[in-house]
Order: sequence, then structure tokens, then C-alpha cells
Amino acid sequence: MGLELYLDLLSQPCRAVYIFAKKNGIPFELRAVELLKGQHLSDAFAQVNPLKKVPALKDGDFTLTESVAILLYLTRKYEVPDHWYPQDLQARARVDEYLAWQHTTLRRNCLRALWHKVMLPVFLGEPVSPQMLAATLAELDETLQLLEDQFLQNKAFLAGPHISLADLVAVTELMHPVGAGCQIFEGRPKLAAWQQRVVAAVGEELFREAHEVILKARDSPPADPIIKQKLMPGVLAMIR
Amino acid sequence: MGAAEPGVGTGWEVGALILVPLLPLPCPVTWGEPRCPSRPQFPLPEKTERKAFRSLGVPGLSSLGSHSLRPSLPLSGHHHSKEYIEINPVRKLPSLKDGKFILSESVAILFYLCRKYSAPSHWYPPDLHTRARVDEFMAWQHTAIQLPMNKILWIKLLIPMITGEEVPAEKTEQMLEEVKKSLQLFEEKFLQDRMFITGDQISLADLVALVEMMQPMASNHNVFLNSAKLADWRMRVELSIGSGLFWEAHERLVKLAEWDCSTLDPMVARPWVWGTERSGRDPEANIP
Repeated sequence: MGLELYLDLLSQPCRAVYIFAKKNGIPFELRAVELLKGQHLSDAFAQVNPLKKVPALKDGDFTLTESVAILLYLTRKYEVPDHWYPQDLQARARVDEYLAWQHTTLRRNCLRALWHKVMLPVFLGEPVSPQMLAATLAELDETLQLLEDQFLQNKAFLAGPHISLADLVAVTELMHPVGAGCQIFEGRPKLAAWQQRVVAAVGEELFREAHEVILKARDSPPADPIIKQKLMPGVLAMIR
Repeated sequence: MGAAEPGVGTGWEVGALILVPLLPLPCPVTWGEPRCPSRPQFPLPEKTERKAFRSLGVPGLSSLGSHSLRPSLPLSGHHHSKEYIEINPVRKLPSLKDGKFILSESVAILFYLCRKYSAPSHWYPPDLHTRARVDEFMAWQHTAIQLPMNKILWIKLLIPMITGEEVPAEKTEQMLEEVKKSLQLFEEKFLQDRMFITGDQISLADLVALVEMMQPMASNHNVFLNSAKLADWRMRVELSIGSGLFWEAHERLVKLAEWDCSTLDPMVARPWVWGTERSGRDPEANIP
């Protein structure tokens, strides 16, 4: 059995891993894990990842979780072009810096934006107060400003002149609020230009393919009560 | 490493390699050593970085002495001053400045130091799978360990100290449950039956894990009490680092309860203490 990637493209980190593997021609078996059906909570999947999360990687007997770790593993094992994770000490540190920062900031706020705006009310039938939603979107706004001011600044890409893992992780996160209908690039020409550069570097077709699912998030049919009950605790913990 | 260069602003001393103490707070704060006689010098814990440097054998640092490490006053609001922002636009702790290169995020700093100073390989093993395990932990810990450990500190010590009120028992219970689950996962997935996370030797993962689990000690909460396995691992990590260095790094943390919180800048406490106001969250709602 070769490399297996357990993914659901609804999830931001899964999209980054998917794009990276495809872009670099890394051969893998896609193992679909449907989050909205609760498949990540199954005993079968727990054998792959006891943390019950996607993405997960299985390479023979070796299993790995955490998208950042998976991306770094693929980078090293398949000797991808240097720009993804540069050898240069300082350039690499910039990528590491972004990948560390984003967990509790952009990742968190993009997730909350999607769930508060769309998934909780539409899919789970749980209304979210306008104040709550406004606060979440305000936090996202602050984070987007930080992304521009602290990381992007006047560079072409987040860590320097070339696309890196940092850009891939960031751009896939941003598609979460986009999928929720948030106009995050409005009034942010710098960020919009960066996003276009990243999409061009990745390839428009691959980018579109990876984001088909998230762009249909608003059309999710309501969950049946059993599924809803199963998913709620995990969702609440995830968006806390 | 180069000579010291003057910094901007009044009375700043900037060494060639400036490191900042690891703060017990995840909030963005500043660093530096202002010569402001009117402000008390609040001592801060210096943990991961100082330990990392000594353990990694970073050359020349011990000879730079106290100039290499800048204790800072993150709780007193100096991070709003222009001088701070010019020296460190990121306004974060810990921060590293190597010539003109400024780096934040402790994980990134640790990797940088390992590479630049060719630290012994056990810190970040070159084997593909072993290194992946360290990466996996370093990614997971941001939300699974660091955040909950800081929550304990805020809920048990800092919020009561600042507001004069205890946090509702329900919130505390919920938070402690979260911590329990995280520590269980840590033992089951990352530690298992090994001496250290990667096997027989200490790595960056153990270092980061331990300093974060030590945070609640400042609020008299010892997460190692409930698990012999965790307590044993803790001791192994301490001995591996060297007890002297370990406790030197934690000296200030364990004295946090003695801090005069009247110097606290509200901006720092805001997300923790006044979270409900700012976010407009209805505390009664079942959506957190």
C-alpha cells in the first residue's frame, strides 16, 4: 500500500495538503472521510487517527496527523522545489513563523466565520445571534489586517518573493470565509493581488478543483437529528 | 555575533542577539528594557529560550551575559509605545533579533537556533519519521496544550487577581476537563511508553511540552499530580536539561502570585477578562 491521504475538502488544512500533493505530482490514494456524515468519528477512522481529525496521512505503517507536519513530511520525502520550504535559514524561518502563528489566529477565525455564518444555522439548525456573528467577523477582520501588515507587507508572497507552504496554508484558510459568503477581499487590494498570485502559482484548475466543496457550503442540506447530535460536541469544541 | 548596536528611543540597549523571556500570556506583548524609573521592573519568566540556548550550546551567549536576554514588562503596556514598535514591529514575546533579522513565534525561533548553531541532532532528529513526530507535536500543541494551560493560569490566578472575583465554577470545571483530555491524548499519542516523545532522548517537543505544562504552577495547579507517567517524564526532561537551568528558567513564573497587578495594562487582559463584553457573547447562550 502506497501513500494514503485521508481528506475531506470541506476542511481547510485538507485543501492545503491536497493541493500540495497534486501540484508536486506526489502519488497518493485519496481516502475520503466525510465530516458532515460524521465519518471521522467512526471506529474505523479512529484506527488511522485516534484524534479523529482530518487530514491524516498513512505511509505504510507510519501515520501522521496535523497538516503542517504532513506538508513538511511530503516536502522532505518527495524533494519538492526549494521555494516551498527554502533551505535559506531566514527564508525558512519566515515560513515556520507563519505556520506557527496561524493555528490560533487565521485558522481559528476563518473556521468560526464559516460556522457562525453558515454551518451552524444552515446545516445544524442552530441560530447564531447577530452580535455573535458580528464579533466573529470583526475578529476575522483584525486577523486579516495582521496577515497583511505583519506577514505579507510589501512582498509578493508571505515569506518572500516566491510561493511557499505559508501561502498555501493561508490561502486555503481564506476560502473558508469566502465559502461562507464573506467579501474578505473587498477593500483589501493588496491581499486580493496576493491571492491571485498564489492561485496563479498553484494553477487555477487545481485551485478550483480543491475548492469546489467549500464553495458549495451554503447549500448544505440540514443535518438529520442523529447526525446533528453526533457532531455537535465536536463542532462546539472546534470553534471555541 | 557582532557588536552591540544602539537601539532607537531613549535608554535602549540592544545586543547583537536579543532574546526575550517567554511570557505566561499568549497575548501579543512587547519586549525590551526601558529605563523608566516610574515603572516597576516586573520580573518575567524566562523559559524556553534561555533553556534552549544553554542546552543547545549556542556559542557566545553565556559570555554576553544578561545583555543577551531582555526581561520585559509585557503586562505594563509598554508595547504601545513607538519605541517598542520600531524595534520589534511584531510586538511579541518571545522575539529574536539577529542583526536586522527579527523573528517571532517560539517554535520558529527554536528551529532557527537549531539550524544556525547546529544543535545536537536529538533536539530535532533528521530521521524522516522522527522529525515528523516532532513537527506533529509542535503543530498540535498550540491549541491542545498551550491554550488550555494558559487558561488555567488566567482562570485560577490572574482573573481573580485582577477583577477580585472568582471565575464561575462551571467554567473552571469545563476548562479542567479540557486540560485533562489534552493531557490524556499527550500521554496516549505522543509519549506512549517512551522515555521522551521521540524515544530515548530529549527533543524540542519535550522542551516545549514541559514549559507549557509548567505554566499552571504559577496558579498553584500542578498537572503532574494525577499521572505518575507524566510526572516521571517531567523529571526526565528536567534532568536532561539540568535542574539548575530548569528551575532558573521557572523562577519568575513560580513567583507570579506575588505580582502587583495594579500595573496591568487593560489591553493585555482584555481578551481574557472582558471576553464576553468584547465579543458580545451572551454568557447564557449555549454557543460558546
